[in-house]
Amino acid sequence: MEVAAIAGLVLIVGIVALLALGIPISVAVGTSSALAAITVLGFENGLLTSAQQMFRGVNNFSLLAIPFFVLAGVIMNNGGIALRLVNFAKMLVGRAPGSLAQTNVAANAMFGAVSGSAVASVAAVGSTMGPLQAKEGYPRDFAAATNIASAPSGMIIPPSNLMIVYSLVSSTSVAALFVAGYVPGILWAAVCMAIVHVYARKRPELRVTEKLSAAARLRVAGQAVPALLLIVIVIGGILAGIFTPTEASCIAVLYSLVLSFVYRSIKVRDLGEILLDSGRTTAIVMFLVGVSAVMSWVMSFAQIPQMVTDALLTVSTNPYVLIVLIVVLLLVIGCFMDPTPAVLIFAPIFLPVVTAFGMDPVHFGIFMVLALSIGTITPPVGPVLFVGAKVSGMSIESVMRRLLPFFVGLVVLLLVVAMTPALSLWLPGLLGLA
Amino acid sequence: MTHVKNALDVTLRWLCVLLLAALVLVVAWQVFTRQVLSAPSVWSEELAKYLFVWLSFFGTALVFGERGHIAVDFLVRRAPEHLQRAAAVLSQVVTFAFAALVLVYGGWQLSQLTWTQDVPSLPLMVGWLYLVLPVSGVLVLFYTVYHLVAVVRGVENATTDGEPDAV
Repeated sequence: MEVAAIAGLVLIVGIVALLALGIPISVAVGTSSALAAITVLGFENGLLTSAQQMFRGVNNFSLLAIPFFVLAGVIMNNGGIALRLVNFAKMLVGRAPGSLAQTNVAANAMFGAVSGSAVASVAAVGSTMGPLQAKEGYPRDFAAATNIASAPSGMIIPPSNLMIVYSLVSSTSVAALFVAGYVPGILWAAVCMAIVHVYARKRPELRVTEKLSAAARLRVAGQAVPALLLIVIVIGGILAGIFTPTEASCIAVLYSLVLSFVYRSIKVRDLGEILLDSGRTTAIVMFLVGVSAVMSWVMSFAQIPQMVTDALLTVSTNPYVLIVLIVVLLLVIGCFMDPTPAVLIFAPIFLPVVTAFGMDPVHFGIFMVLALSIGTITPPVGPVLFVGAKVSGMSIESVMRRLLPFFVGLVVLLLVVAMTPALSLWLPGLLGLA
Repeated sequence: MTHVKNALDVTLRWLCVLLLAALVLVVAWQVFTRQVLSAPSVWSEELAKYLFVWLSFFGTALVFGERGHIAVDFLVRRAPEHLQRAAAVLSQVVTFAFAALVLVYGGWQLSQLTWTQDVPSLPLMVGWLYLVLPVSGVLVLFYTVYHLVAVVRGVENATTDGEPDAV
């Protein structure tokens, strides 16, 4: 067997075996990649190259946006920002059937548009909306399921760290990916709203009769303006070419910090814990990024993406069949793995396949992030599901039952987004980004 | 050993907090010089990158100390207790091997090779920056030995149950 094939085999068998044994994903990927590098370059040079690739992978100015968006998210999670967005969402939804559940969906989408962390969103919005809905007679399992199903929309609506990670592995523009996420992310929220509507339509008791006066409406909207202004500053700043995404993320940190101090929702002495929390998450992500750089080096040497492309093309050459196949693979991967490592490991493998039949890398990024976001609300590895169930005090099983219709709706949305490039590419095209 | 670990934990926590705070300030300074002074700082981008690398690797060591790196552990969680313990031991052994070979050995070689190479725009040598690999590697070695002993002696559980972190 030639050396490239042996290296490829060492890499794949190593990763699968070490993951199955419950070894941290980063260590499994790093160790297998280093062993494969040794088989190619020998002991000394293999380890030297591994260390170098790891450092090079992390040493990247544009990735600095990741810790900053994480930090901004943690600050907003502690701050009074979520509460003001919830109030604003409630006003927008008004007295539609199931209005409080609809409010929950809208608040998650808005929180996603300012922060981008689905777990922060499911916890912050869920802990506000859950008790409110329980008081108005909403079944608690339904309320929890609505909150869980709608929270990941924030990972698709910009800013989104997952998109930054994808932009790194696919060499696409962060600005284009961010803008491309708007339509599919809003559709995610729309799917959730449609399902809530179907459920609540026949239950007249799920309406809030309280009617806000014009003055009250104005006050609620005014209170949400500072938080919503963040979208204009961050996304607007990037699109107008005023800031790089990294600079914009730093502005997001400073802005959310100032807002939270003004709202008196965080104190100076909380800052240490907030920074530490963000530092931890950053380290977990960046260590994964580092070992993935070693893995990409080995993979391209062993020509693994080429092998996967050839193998998939023997199954079918019909693009739609291949898309469905990749959708199924991504959904399965998403069930077992967090989205960031999944993007780092599988984007380099699938990207050559989809570009071979003419899919735009930005479109694939959206479709991949969407598929993996569905994975965050499915067991056995579903952080949004677990945190959402926990804040609602419901068991995973009872929430799962109510989650099923949402899940079906979201998979349909995924297929539609995968088959319709315009849903992802129209807006960036309009703004001259794609 | 526990005393050493606690002292190390506290030191690394402070280091991460300070590095991240410094990172915010340095990039804020860069935005300020570029947007307001129209005279972009020449050193801030390089410095920010290296602070970020240090934060990433020292943070990595800290998270190993907390057994907090994400794993696909639903299979192991369904296994009987003695197998869980064996998997936990193996996990520490593999992490030890990775840290020893790639971070400490590979990182040290790399640092030696580039010891006298200048960093553009900062009064530093490239080799010094690479030193973060072997240094954080040694910390990871210490933590893996600590957890290995703790798991074998039954002081720590085979599986950790932290808050799920969506990354």
